[in-house]
Amino acid sequence: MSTIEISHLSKAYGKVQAVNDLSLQVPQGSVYGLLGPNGAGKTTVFKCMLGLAGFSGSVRYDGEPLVPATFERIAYVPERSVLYEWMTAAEHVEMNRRAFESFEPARAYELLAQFEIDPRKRCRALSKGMRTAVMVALAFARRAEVLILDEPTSGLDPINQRHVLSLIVNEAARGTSVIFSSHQIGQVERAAERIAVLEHGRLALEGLVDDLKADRKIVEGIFPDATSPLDGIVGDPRVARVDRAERIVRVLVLAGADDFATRLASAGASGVRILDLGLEDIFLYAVSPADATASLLPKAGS
Amino acid sequence: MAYVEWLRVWRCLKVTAIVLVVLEILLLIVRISFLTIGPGDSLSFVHGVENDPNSHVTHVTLPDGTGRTIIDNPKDSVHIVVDDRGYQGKRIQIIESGAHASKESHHTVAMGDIHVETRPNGGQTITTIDTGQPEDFGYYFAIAAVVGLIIASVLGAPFARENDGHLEIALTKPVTRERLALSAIGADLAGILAAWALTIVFLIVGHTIFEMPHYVFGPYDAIGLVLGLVSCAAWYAMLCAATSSIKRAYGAVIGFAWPVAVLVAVLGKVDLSGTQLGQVVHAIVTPLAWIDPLTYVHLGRGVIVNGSPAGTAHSAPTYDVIVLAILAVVYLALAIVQWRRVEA
Repeated sequence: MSTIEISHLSKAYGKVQAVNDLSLQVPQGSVYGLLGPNGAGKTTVFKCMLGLAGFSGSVRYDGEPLVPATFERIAYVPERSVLYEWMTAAEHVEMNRRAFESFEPARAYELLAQFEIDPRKRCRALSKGMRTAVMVALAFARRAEVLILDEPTSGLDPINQRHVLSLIVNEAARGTSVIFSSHQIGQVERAAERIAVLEHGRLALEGLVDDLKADRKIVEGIFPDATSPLDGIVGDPRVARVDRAERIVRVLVLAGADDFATRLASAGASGVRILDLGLEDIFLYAVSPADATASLLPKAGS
Repeated sequence: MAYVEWLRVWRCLKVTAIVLVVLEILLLIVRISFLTIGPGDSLSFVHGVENDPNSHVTHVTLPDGTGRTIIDNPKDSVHIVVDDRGYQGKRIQIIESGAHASKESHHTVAMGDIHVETRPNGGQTITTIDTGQPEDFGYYFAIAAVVGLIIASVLGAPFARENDGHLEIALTKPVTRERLALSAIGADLAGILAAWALTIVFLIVGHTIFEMPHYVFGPYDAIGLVLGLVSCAAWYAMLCAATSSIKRAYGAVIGFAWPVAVLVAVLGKVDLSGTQLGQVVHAIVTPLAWIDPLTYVHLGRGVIVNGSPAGTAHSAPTYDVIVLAILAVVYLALAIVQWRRVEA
């Protein structure tokens, strides 16, 4: 079983820095969610992890660099269909049987049946979601030690999305290390123990989902007017950001939510309350532009 | 990737076989529909003399079963003997004298199993046409090479096909890229060889539908065989090298490769030194012609006139084979080196 270590990974396409000095670790038997807006660099990270693109830094599996033999232990589902459209699903199964010792054709056919895919059909006749399902079936029939899944539920209906999440969790329970990306943050929240949020190729946030949710709170209050000063709150190191929409002020705090609630009330806010954050809120706060907070700050002399 | 390439080759061979079988059926239909068709029957001259009211025609059957037709036309001083050996072919001897006698010296022309000999004999000219002579494989190898070149073009972009959206499959297998590349190349070359062999079988069957061929295999045939196969390999290798690093539009590259390579090969052999522009074109085309496989491709020894191959295109076939083999190896190495650097 494998631990994945990514150290100082950087990748540029011409002048565009797709990934910038990324370091993270996927512990063995864990499910790791990689989040980020479009173009954040998630797919590039996966390609670098698989040696499909050149990069600087290092990627190690159980402390060893990637070599061709490592692929016997790694299964990958790309974000878009890479299936050969002129081949049938059954021929893809056969191709994998010949390529990987660990591949279990019976398991692949079982998964295809669960996704209600006729293996005799050519891939060009399958819908986008069905092609994703074929790739998922092929990957999960590998009994791999590492699963790298780039949006593995893309195009799937809600039932099959749930099925894929169950497969991911079951594989992790077997000791497989899973790293996956998804724009469905609810899915990531259900399946992943740990997440990383990428923003413009940089690591914007990383940690255990439960810790991130437990630490971060929103303290919200309604002020008598839109220009009430927030002295002592904006500069506090425990404050991640302050959003102000007319008279409503929302403060994202990393700790001491009760203290900030008291301070908002003292500053004249009414209806002060502390809100728990979901992963989606945490994600959105992590990837919102930095100047969004600055623009909300009271102007000097006001 | 090798499995995928084998599937591609298999599909390509299936289509090739279907086309060849359809052609074979058409030949059979032609044979059945026009039973009298054959090389001798195309000699309208013989029929013209036979149907002339001044001709005296005699039919006899020789002890070996050969049907002999003797045509005498004293008016035109023509004497023809046609030995029809049925499935074994025909032998026609035409003796012309007087004003019809040719002034040409002795010469022979051989094309396949049709051998024509003309020789003066006093005031006469004796022309012998034999359609049942031993036949070399040169034509078969030439036609098979053309089919092989077409199949090489169809299969000639294995890496570009992978680059076009399938690298995530190809490059996440527990083998090196070099091994992947070599296995794909091996599958394609085997496919080209199989298509070549299918064509040879098709030609043998097609010929046999019309008459019993008498094959001989000589040194020219050995060179024709090797030259045909190596030219297919070199052409395939060149297409691989030209497309191995591109991800799209490889079909256009292959499509343009034919006219460009033919043009370069032709211009490389034409004397363009007459004008200044011609010299410039020659200076550009000559080095390109060196690396163009089609420059070294020819269709075997072709028509034999007076015992020697007609034309000058293949004065050094062994040299052509060696150059084509070198080009094949260099182009394939270049293709692999380029493909190693392609990123998904």
